[in-house]
Amino acid sequence: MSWLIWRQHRIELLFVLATVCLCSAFLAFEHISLVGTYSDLGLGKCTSAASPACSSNLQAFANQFGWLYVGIYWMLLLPAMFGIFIGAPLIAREVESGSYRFVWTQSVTRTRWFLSKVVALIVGAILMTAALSAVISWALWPLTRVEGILLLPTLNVLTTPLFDLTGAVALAATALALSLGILAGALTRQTVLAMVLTVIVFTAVRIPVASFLRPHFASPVVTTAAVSLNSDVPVVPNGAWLMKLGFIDGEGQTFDLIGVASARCQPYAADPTALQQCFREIGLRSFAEYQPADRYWLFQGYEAAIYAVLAATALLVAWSAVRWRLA
Amino acid sequence: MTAIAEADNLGKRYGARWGLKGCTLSLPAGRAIALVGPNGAGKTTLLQLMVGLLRPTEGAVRVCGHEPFKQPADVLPRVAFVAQDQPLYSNFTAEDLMTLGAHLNRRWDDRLVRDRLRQLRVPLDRPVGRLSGGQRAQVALGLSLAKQADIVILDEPLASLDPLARQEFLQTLMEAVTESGATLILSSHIVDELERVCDYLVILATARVQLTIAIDEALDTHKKLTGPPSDLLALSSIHDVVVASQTPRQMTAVVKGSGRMLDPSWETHAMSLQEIVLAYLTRSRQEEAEPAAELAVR
Repeated sequence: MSWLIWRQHRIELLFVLATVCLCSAFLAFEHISLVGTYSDLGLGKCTSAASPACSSNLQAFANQFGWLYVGIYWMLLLPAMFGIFIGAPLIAREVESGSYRFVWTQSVTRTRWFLSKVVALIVGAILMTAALSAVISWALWPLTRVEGILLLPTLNVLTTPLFDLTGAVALAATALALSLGILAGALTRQTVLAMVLTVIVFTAVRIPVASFLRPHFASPVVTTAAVSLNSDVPVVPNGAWLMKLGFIDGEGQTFDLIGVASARCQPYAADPTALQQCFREIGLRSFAEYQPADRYWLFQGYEAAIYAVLAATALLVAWSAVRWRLA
Repeated sequence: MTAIAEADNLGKRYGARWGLKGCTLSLPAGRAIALVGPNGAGKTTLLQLMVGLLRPTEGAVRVCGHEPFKQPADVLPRVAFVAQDQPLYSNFTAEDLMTLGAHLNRRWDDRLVRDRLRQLRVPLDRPVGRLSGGQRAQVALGLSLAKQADIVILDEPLASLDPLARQEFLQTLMEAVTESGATLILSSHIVDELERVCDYLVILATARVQLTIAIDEALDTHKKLTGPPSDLLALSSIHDVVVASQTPRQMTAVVKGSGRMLDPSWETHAMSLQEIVLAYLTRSRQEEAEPAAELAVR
C-alpha cells in the first residue's frame, strides 16, 4: 500500500511541503527583525510594564510587530486545506472515477486499503502541522512574551490563533479536518460537495469550541484590588488570558465602568480623601477574571481531546460507509 | 464437475429495484464461461457480488469456497476482476499500474504483462487516460492476467471496443486463457464471436438465470422446428419448448432435447449460439409481459 499512497499523494505532499516551507521562511525572516529589535530595546530585562521606560519600549515593540498576529491568522486554514484537498477526495474521487472497482479488487481488502490510507495521511498531515507549529512558536517568542507582559489578547497562548496553531490542538484539529473530509467524501461520494461540507462542518465545530467552550474549561481566577486614585486594576500575572475587568461593590454587584459603580460617591468627587473614604464604605473594589497562562496544557488537553474523539468517530463512520454502504 | 463459483438463491436489491433475484447457479472450474444477457439483466451485479464489491441482499455466493464480501482476504487473491469500462487511474502509466499490481498482490507475474503489452505495442510510459479504448482494455486485461488468479472475471470487456479492436482483444484473450488454465468468466451483451473464446454459457435475463450449459451441448441440443400450425400443448408433450410463435401458415418453435421430429411435415434446423440466446431472451420477455397482459384482459 505504501507505494500506492506515495504515488497518489506525492503531489499533495509536495504542495504541503512547499506551503510549510514558505510559511516558515516568512516566519524566520520576521524572527530576525523581532529578535534584533527585542535586544536593541533591552526588553529581556523587562518583566512588567510598571517602569515607564519598560512600558513605552514594550508598547513600541507591540505596536511595531502586532500585525504579525494577522500574518499567522490565515495559517489556521492549513488544517482545513488538508480536509478539503486530501480528505474529501480520498473516497469520493475513487467512486466518481469508478477506480474503486479496480483498487478494491486487488489482493488488498478495502478495510486494509482504508486503514493504510487513513493512517499514512493523518500521520503525514500531523507531521507537517507539527513542523509549522514548532516554527511559529520559535519565531514569535519575543512578541508572545511582550504581549504577555502587556496582557494583550492578540498573541496570547490561550487564544486564537496562537492556541490553535500550537501544541496538541493544532495536531488534533488537523486530524479532525482530514477525518471530516474523508467522512464527507464517503457519505456523499461527490468530491465537490464533500469539499464544501468539510469546510462547513469543520468551521461549525471549531469556532463554537474555541469561542464558547474554551473559556469554560476551568473556572477563571478572580482577583480584586482596592480602588485607589492612582491604580484601579488588580495585578494579573504575565501571559494570562484576561477575560473580564470591572468593579464590584460590597453587595456583590458588578459594574463595567467606574463612573456607574461609584455614582453614590458623586457628592465627594471634589475631595480625594472623602472620595476614597466613600469607596471604602460601599466596599468598591476592582476585579479581574483571567485564565493563567500555566493552564495552557490543561486547556490544550481538553480541546485536543474533543477534536480527537470527533475525528475518531468520523473515521469509524467513514469506515463503515466504505465497508457496508458502498456495497 | 468441480464448481469454482456457486450462487444459492442470490439476490441484490438497489432501493426498491432488484438487480438480481433468485440466482442459483454453479460454474465449472477450468472453463471459459460467457455470461450473456441484455443490458440491465444483472450481469454486472452478479460479477460484482462474486468479487465482493457488492454485498448480497439475500442468499449467498461462494467463490473458491468462500463468501467474497464476508471473507475478502480469502477470495481477492484468487480472483482477477476487470470492471466495465476498465476503470484504471487515468493519470497512471501502464508502468505505474504494473508497479501497483506488484505491490498490492502476493502473486504477480510482471514479465507476463510487460511482454504482452510490448508485443501489442501499447506505450508503457503514457498515462492510460490518453490511450485508445482498445489499448486501455489490453492494459486492464494484462494486469488481470499478471495476478495469476484462479478466476479471471471480465465485465463487458468488448463493449467499448470497435470491431477491429474487438477482434484483436478476443485473439489475445483466447491465447491467454489457453496458456493460464484459469477459469474465465466474461460478460457480454454481444453474443457474436464469443464462441471463439468461450465454451460454457450462462444466460441471464430479467434478473434471473435462464440457462447454464456447455456451449457444445447448447448447439447440439437446441433445434428450430418449423411446421404446420398446430397445438403448442401437443408439441410441448414431446419436446422441451423454449419459445414458440405461430402465424396462420406455420408454426416455429425452438426446442431443447435430443429427440428427433418424426412427422415429415416438420423441418428441423440447427441453431447458432446467437439464435439460441435470442430464443431464451424472447421467452423471458414474454414471461415478463404475461402477467401484465392478463391484467389488461380483465
